[in-house]
Amino acid sequence: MTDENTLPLVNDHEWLARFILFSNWIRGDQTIRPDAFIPHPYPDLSVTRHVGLLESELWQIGQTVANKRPAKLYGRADVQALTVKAQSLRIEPTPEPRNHANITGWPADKPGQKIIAIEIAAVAQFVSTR
Amino acid sequence: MIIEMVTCANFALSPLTTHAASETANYISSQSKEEWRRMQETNSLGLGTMGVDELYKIVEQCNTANWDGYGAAPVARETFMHAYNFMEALPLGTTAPSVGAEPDGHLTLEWYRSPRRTLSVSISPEGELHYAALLGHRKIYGTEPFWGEVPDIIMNIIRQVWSL
Repeated sequence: MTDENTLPLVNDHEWLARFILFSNWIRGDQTIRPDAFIPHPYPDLSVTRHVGLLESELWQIGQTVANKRPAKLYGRADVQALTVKAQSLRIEPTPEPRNHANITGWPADKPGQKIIAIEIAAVAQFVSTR
Repeated sequence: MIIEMVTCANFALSPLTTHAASETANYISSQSKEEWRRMQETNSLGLGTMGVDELYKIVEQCNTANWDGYGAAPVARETFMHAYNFMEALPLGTTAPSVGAEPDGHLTLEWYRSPRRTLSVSISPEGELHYAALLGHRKIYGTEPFWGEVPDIIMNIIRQVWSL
């Protein structure tokens, strides 16, 4: 049983994944629309930490997210933790599900959320399931 | 096509701003609206049918809860109506946006040239336009109400996204 207090802290160079189940969030040039990074339900944005996971395990988590809906998993948007922290956001690991974290500290106003989402999307890397 | 160009002269003002009271004026106004809509749907002058088709497609995909797998809110009918009217209100010749949706159920219209030269406008069920743009190192963001016409600030940003 993992205690919340003993969860490993998020290192600046760690990678975080946001799984993409909606193909519209992937632009034709394989970049990610900022829509994928709008926090909802506010104030959290769910991500999965890469740390300690094999590539196959990471995809398995994404597939679990997709199966719950159910929907097709198109890929993931990867961002480095330092990109998130540079926007004055915090990354808070949660005990469950495995490697899950919430990105918190978002402004309450929608335009404020959008400009941050655009900044994150501008450097996010799309990794396709194919 | 020639007919369309001639008719174009009748649309110096958006038909949505007409306040005609007489029956004749109302008839002309309704005909003008229809003509405006038809011109918007031509690829050479307006957004083309693709923009509206894309809007329908997105709404169809996002009209149930959890459409993103992370608990997204469904897109409401009111949001669709505001987005449709906003697209119709775009001046002829405006570059067509691509349509999207956000997890909070807002519809988005995006003018995208590169990751750092982009404008996103979110449309809420209440008819608010939340916009955010990156223009190189400049950031512009805010909220405007939608009253049937595209706010000047948004039109200016659209032009800046496409200017050199």
